[in-house]
Amino acid sequence: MNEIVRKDAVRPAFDIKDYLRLDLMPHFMCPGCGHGIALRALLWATHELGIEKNQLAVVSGIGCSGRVGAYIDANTYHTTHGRPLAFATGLKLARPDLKVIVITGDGDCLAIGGNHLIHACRRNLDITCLMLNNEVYGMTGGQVSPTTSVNRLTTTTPAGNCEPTFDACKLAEAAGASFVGREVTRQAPALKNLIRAAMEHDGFSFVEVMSDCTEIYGRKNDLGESPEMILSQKADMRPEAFGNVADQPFRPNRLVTGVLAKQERPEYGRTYRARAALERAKKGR
Amino acid sequence: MSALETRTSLSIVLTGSGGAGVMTAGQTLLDAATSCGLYGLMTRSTGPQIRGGEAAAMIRLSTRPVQCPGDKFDILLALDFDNIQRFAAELPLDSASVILADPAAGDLPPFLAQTGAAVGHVEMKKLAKTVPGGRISMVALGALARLIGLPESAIVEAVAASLGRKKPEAVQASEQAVRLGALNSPEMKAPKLTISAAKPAGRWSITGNEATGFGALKGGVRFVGGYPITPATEILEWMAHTLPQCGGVLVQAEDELASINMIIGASFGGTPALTATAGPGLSLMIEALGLAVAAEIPVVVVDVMRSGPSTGIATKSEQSDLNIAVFGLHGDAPHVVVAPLSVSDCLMTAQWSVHLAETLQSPVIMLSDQSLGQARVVIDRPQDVSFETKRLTPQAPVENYERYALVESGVSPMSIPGMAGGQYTADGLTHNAKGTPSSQAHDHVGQMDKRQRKLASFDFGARWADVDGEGELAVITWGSSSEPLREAIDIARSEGIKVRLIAMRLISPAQPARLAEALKGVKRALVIEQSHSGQFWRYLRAYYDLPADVVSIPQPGPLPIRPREALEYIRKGAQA
Repeated sequence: MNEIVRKDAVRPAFDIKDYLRLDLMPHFMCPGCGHGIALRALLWATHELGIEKNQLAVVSGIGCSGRVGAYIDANTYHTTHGRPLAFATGLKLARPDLKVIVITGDGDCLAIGGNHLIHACRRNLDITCLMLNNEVYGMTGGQVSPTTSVNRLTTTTPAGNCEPTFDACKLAEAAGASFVGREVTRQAPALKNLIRAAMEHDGFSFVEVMSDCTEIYGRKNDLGESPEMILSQKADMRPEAFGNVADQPFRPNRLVTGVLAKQERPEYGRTYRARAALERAKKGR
Repeated sequence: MSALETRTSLSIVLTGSGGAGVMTAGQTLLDAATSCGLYGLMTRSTGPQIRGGEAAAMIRLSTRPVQCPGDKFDILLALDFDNIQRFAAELPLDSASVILADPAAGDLPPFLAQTGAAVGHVEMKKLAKTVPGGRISMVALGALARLIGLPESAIVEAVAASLGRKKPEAVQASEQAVRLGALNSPEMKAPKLTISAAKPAGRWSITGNEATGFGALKGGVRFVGGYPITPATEILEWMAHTLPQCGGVLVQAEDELASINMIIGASFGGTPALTATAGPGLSLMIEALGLAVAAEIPVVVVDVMRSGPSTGIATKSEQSDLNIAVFGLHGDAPHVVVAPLSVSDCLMTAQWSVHLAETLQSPVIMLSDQSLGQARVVIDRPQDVSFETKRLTPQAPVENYERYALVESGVSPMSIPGMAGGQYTADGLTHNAKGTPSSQAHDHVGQMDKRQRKLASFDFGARWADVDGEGELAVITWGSSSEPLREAIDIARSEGIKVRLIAMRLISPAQPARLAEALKGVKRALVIEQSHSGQFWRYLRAYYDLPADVVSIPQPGPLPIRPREALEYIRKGAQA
């Protein structure tokens, strides 16, 4: 499958510092932001899989999630808003030897980049997409996103959000993603394991990471400080009180985590190359 | 034969409703003429519908190479008169012209009758019905061939070559239909072709879009991401077929936003990459082009221009994307814009575009257009050109790597993923020499200077423009407008008018010193282009010192600039 993955290699213990651009510290993330936990989980999984930094390419979009990638000491690309999956598609097709990871957010991936998501799922190219879902446009100051829960306050929904939300995992699965999973940042080792499984999967893997935005979203909605928000992730991130609100076809009332869908489908890049080789052989005859 | 009968150039237009086989018949005629030693050009004009609309194949045959439409049509071959009035302005005919039509098609439309052209009749439909599987277009071609002195056998051979051995019965039916058409060709005075018996070797029959694809491939492109759009789609189709054979990849993206980002991604990975689009697609790609400028990623974007704005006339040509190509990007975003000067020049210009992109680590926009891209020419095999195309990469071992180091040339070594120690962030955020995001003034200015410097200090060489001739009158033009002007200037010179031609292939960055040199001694300049607002003239005024006496002659699409019109401008310009 992936030649660059060397599971048998003897590795020293995981030290996140080995994978970060330390000269960029301190990072820009707010106190209590869940994105740092997601970053750590990704690097931890990378370490366990024995992927060399120069063989790792991390592509990100715009927003808080977009800034996370640049802290990684790898081949990193900070693209335009919504386009990291398109960018990664070109990179992976041109360089199948690289391990390509996309870090995106709920706005980047589901709003402005929604079209690229469904087509990336459909193509099934061997890319791992981490969508850090904090339910809000954080970097621009707290506007409603496609995953903002109903009734939540944002700067553009001052009377409470009245739009139904996307269940990104159901969307990805329906669009054909061959690996779909969700995890909360509260469960860091489980998140690492899920990301690792996604990276080991041969095909397009989509992982929704339930992150939290304490400074803007939490404060505005009185959800407490970071510990409260993290602890409440699994239990009541979807308040039961709102469970019966109409027009929420996608939003599960209770958050389901772990591997949600997995299926064997032909990997796009390999299929393309095999077909091209067949054509070449025909011509050569 | 009298001079009237023996022509060096003969223009023929085949018209009919879409799906009647006009384009195929046109192609057959061109192939047949080619096998008789002629050069040629075929342009296509269609309505917005793919089938059922109106279609015209416009062919110019000559003993000399021709790459632009002539002044008028010598022969109109109408398979029917349905919707032909929609082409009225595109079909210049006069009393010396000949119209070949089916009497069953009804009366001659008034606009054709007014030309005074002689009319000959062939019962195309009726005759075609007498042959099992016989096609109207083949009967028509047979009649036409006899009329202009083209051997029917050449037509039959061209049909056989295109249908191959797969369909012997279809070839046989065509042959019968062609012979029948020839036998029933009207006896009338018509211009004749000068043909040679010897089949010339080494000639190419190629469209501008094919030439663009081939040039890009020769330049080293191995990744294409694209989204279908008229009139650029043939580049993608040609590449889809050819790239995999060369170990490359073509992917059809979900939209133009995706295609531009895919090629930037592939290029970041070290693979020279290209996309092809038209105006509406370029509009969608503009944001990401800014990213490629900021992150210094080489990519080539071919814009096969069509009449705009918005959907405009998707099937017809105009040079009106110059503004967006040069000025469309937000922020200060220096990049390269080039334009092929003819159908055959698409080959070299595309190859050059890849070379410039890779060498300068910059996006390059190539402005082709419908009149080049979808035109087919028969030409002598173009000269092979080669460029030393190599992306500057860091020397191993890479230590303390600075991707955006402020080097004198402005072109800093670009690491390719996989180079140990060469990891960096390619970023659209303003960054410092290492690539670290920065919002500090000195980083912003330093990097802007660097990006400006790499284009300003690069020697683009003689390819920046085709310059020729002398005198106090100059014609300045660009891209596809160049060919009709060349032809007009040839005639003007034969009349004793001294005139220079400056046909610009490099639009941006501007080359003021080079143009000043080319304009030395010029008192009056005519700026001729195919746009409504004089985009090229305004661009020249903004970036160049021009003579005091400048005449702007903008002609919007979709009608081509014809040599005779251009000649009138030049004659007028030559008067004191």
